[in-house]
Amino acid sequence: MLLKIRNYRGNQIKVNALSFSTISRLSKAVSAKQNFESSGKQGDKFTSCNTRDVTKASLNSLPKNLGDDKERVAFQQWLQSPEVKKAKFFNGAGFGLGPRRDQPFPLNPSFRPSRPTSHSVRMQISNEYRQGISVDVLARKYKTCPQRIEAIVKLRNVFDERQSHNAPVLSSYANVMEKMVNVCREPSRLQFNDHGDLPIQSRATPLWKSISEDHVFSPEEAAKTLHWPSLEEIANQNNSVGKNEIRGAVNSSHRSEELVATDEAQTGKRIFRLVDVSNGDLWKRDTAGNIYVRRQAATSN
Amino acid sequence: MRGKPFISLKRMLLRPSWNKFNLYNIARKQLPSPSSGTLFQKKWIAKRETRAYHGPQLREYQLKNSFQPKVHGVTPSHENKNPIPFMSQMYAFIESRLDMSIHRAMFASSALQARQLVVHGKVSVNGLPEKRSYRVLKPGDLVTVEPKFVLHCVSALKSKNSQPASSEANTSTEKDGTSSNESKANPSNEENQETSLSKSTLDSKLESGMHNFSPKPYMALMAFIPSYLEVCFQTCSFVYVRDPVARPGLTEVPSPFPEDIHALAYSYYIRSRCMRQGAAHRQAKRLFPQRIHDPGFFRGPRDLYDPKKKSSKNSYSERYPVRRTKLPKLV
Repeated sequence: MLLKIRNYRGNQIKVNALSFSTISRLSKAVSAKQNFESSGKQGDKFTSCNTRDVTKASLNSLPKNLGDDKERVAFQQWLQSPEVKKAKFFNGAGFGLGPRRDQPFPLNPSFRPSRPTSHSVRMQISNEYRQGISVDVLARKYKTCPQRIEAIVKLRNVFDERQSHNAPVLSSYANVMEKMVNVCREPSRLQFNDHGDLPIQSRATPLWKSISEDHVFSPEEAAKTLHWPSLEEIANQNNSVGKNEIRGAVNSSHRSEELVATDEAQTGKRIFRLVDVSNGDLWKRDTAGNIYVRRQAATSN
Repeated sequence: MRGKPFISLKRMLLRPSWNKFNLYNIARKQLPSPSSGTLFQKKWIAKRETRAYHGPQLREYQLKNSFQPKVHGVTPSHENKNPIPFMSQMYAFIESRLDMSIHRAMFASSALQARQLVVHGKVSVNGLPEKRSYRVLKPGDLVTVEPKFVLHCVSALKSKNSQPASSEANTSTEKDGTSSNESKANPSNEENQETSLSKSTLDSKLESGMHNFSPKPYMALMAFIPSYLEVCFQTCSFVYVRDPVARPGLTEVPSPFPEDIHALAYSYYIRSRCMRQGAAHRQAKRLFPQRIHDPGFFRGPRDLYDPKKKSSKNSYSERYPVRRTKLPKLV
């Protein structure tokens, strides 16, 4: 139901009646707007915020093309809320728009940037590099990629060059920004999510290979066909121990799966896959009537 | 006729900006309902919403030309069974633009302001001045912005001198007319002498950056640095470490929208891409060797394998040829 209201400027605006809870509130709204025009006194409870803050002047100071009066009042209310007021001139605490400290956007839970490095940690890493430790060793030590170590060294060179030219030191700016961005000052707590990455190499055309029926096509063979580095090489690179599964390989690896039951009467066209939510186990029934279980490994992330 | 406002409480389009109205929109944004309309309508709305945030300074044809259908992902060598959000990488090619990276490194309050910084010559890449905002950064590029202008972009309007506060959209207009300053990189331009008001404002901002820095109001609500940048605030410089990449459960492309919205926008753009390109062109592309982004394969510092030394005279790289001589006049 659309209602036409005259706002204090005399312009007609269409308002959905459902947005107001009661009609009395509506009349209060109209009277409140008229009150704004007539005098800067305290309005009714319609605005539900300190009308000292939402005076006619501040309403008018917002540009008209942003939205209508109701939206601008709601915006002013949001500005007065305690979280936003704390953020107005940053005082040192951590906050953002998202629910978590490391989630800046409320609607996108997959964007969670890692904590950046502080100036002190960068100085430490570049000092170690200058003492003679190589980039690869440093990357493995701080669990990141060598490109980042090189970047840190570059930034250190720029900093030294500026210092040698006696440029003004932006200490206050750097301190405030580092606090705001939630910088990590301890090298032990650094987490870059860079370490030990394998690129996902996709193919434009699919590969075909004919093998005999009883031949089991294992992930290692798949990696060899795709010319991917073997698991030993990767393990040696990252100094990690244990079997790893290459992601692009064929999913069914019968080593980790246990055959639980067999029922020849249950053969069918379809493969059923069930996930046990409490454990994370994967139960599978294939076309031959065999039921497999892939237990959730204890060392998964 | 005036176009629609850039930031509007009614339209609620999200922009790459620290504007308080924009932050309010991000805080209260609701995604379009999944049962809204036809498939094309969903794709269109997804494209509209994501384009408003990712590269609003680009025209539609510019984005279609620079659109890359190949999305890169990465998997760790240890076991991680989270799904990789590939579709969030749709706008990754925009993030590697110079102006967007400057905004992500928190040296400018919006992407448009960052673009203005570049165009006005306050930015240098790998030591050489760069005036092209469309420059795509390669891994390892070092970008330096002049500290005076960074502080102007980032600090609060009402400084101690209490200069008249201009509107938030026009924060960079003051530094447009500034003539010779003590800038290291750029030579002094002989333009009309601006009033000493703007000069003193810039210098006061620089002093406040040294002693008592007050950030832009509400800037802390959108304070983050993406993982693919390494930023040094002391020198107002950053390094583009690598391209943003999708990981199990995580994206590196900063975006307020979840993956399904990006997937719809991707399906919109891939359609027009296929329509535009001919079959022969596509076939030729398949024959090219694939460029593999292997972060574990470190070739060393760029000077070793990239022997092209750029002199200061020829500041523009060969990858982006710029016309040096004037075209002959058509009579």
